[in-house]
Amino acid sequence: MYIHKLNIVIITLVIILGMLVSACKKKETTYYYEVPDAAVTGSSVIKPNQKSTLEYVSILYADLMGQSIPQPELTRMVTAYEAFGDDRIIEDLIIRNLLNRQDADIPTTPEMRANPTQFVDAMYQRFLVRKPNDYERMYWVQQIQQDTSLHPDILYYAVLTSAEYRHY
Amino acid sequence: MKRRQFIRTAGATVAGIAAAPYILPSGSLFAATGNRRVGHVVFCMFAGGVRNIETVHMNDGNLLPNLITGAGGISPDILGGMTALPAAAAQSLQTFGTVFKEFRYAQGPTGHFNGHTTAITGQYTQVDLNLRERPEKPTVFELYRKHNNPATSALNAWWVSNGLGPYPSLNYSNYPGYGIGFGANMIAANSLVNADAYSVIGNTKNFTDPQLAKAAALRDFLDQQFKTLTPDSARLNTASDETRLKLFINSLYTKAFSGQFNDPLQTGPGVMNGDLYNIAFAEEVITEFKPELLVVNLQGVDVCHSNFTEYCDNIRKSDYAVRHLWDKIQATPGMANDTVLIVAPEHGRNYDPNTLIDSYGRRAFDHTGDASSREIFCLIAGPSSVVKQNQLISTNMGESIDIVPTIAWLLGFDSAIPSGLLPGSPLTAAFN
Repeated sequence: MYIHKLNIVIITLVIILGMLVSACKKKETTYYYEVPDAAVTGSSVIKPNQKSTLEYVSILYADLMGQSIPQPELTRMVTAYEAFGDDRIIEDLIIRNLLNRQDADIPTTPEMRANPTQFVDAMYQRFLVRKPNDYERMYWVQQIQQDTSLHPDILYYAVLTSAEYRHY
Repeated sequence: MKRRQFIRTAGATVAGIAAAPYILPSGSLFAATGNRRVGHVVFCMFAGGVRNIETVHMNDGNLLPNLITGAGGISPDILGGMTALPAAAAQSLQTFGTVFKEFRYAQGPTGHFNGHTTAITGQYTQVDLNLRERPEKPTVFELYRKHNNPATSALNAWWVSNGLGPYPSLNYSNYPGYGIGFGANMIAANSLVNADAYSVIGNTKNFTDPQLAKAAALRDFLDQQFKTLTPDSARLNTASDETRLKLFINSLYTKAFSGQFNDPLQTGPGVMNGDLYNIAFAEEVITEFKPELLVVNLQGVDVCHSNFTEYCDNIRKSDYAVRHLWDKIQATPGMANDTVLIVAPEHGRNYDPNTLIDSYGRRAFDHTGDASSREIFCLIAGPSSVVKQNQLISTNMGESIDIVPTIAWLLGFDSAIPSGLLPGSPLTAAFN
């Protein structure tokens, strides 16, 4: 009889203890997030070769003016390169010179704002010879939409002076 | 770990931690111990190949009245070929310094590129002309920028080149541990400040500061996405210095359009040549940047390959140009009385003439390595507290390779240059 009562006490204690332990456990909840259907590239863009001076100015001219660079113009640009010790400075001045020309092929601001996504895709394809990934596209479109002071020439200037544009 | 090894390792670690804050950007533990003698050095390469016979020996009269003291009218037979120039200064630059009359370009081919490279690196070179090949040894600009303490930006080191070809490449070398990050700014202004260059780098799109900041942020975003297998090359200038340099180039165009370069050295009409213009542009660099180290060259006398009389006339023009440069230095606050001017040809010219005869009946001369083509002079002018005044050294003393060590000694970074790197020695005979 005594043993029976002891068993009941022990069983009761075990149940109470079990309840206490289970009460300390945090209830686990599983959340399910909807992953958007976005293409994500595995790594950053890799273009191993740096453009030579000749390649750089030739491609730059073709990209901005929509035609091959005439030989006299190419000679003048290369001479300017040779005549100053810092290539970056001459590159910057050449880019700004081309951006300032009436015949440069630059979309208008309304055209850019009418369809920012299309503008960004076209800009990447034209200058960087690739499509932007979704993250890049989202970033540039956001910049265009959020900053009303942005004009196409500012965006072009940013891309043309980037490290990626100097490489292929 | 054994106790002794532990103590040694721990001691080295503690010493390293203690010394780290004192390691200079150059990698040296201590600052250069040399003393600065002057704040600025201007080295004018009186280049193109000029014979001592026509310069310091005055065989056809004193063609360098602004540099060297000496009477003697120009030979009557070539007098008709001489351009009218402003009167020479009352006192020649020799009055303000020392002339090494028998200086030598002792080794290597007597070619313009070799002579230039030797003068700028302080090392004789056997390398033949190789367009756009940078020097094998560090240039004086790199030695200055790497070893001077405190380190300075490239705005303080300028190579003002008369022409293109291989010369622009002399602003920095391929030598390991030096290179573009320690190079000089270079300008070949005769090729940069003209209508052709303006058509491609002038008339630029002007962005506002906020627009530039926005463009920089967008560019940074792009650069973060980009990786290249080629390592980032060092930059010659900082971003802020680049901005200043662009403004400088634009200011040159503005001056050109406003006619300020029509007669920049007050020579009168029809006198200016490439040498005079190059000095004028060197003076623009002085006005804007007051560089601590400036090297500028002249090359007009090379016409001697075909026209001796014009060669003599160009020697006179170069003489006038150098004097104008000296006057500019003395008129520039911060450089006046704190600058040493060094003048030396890169090499000489043959004793024997070639077969060409000019309209005054004089034979022309090449430079192919005979004794005369190695004979040059060196003039060093500066404050009387530093440079021995009115001293003429007629004995055979000094070589081309001594110019770089002299510049290092004057600017006080000589002792920081690794031993054995420079074979020459400072020209201490010129200094107090």
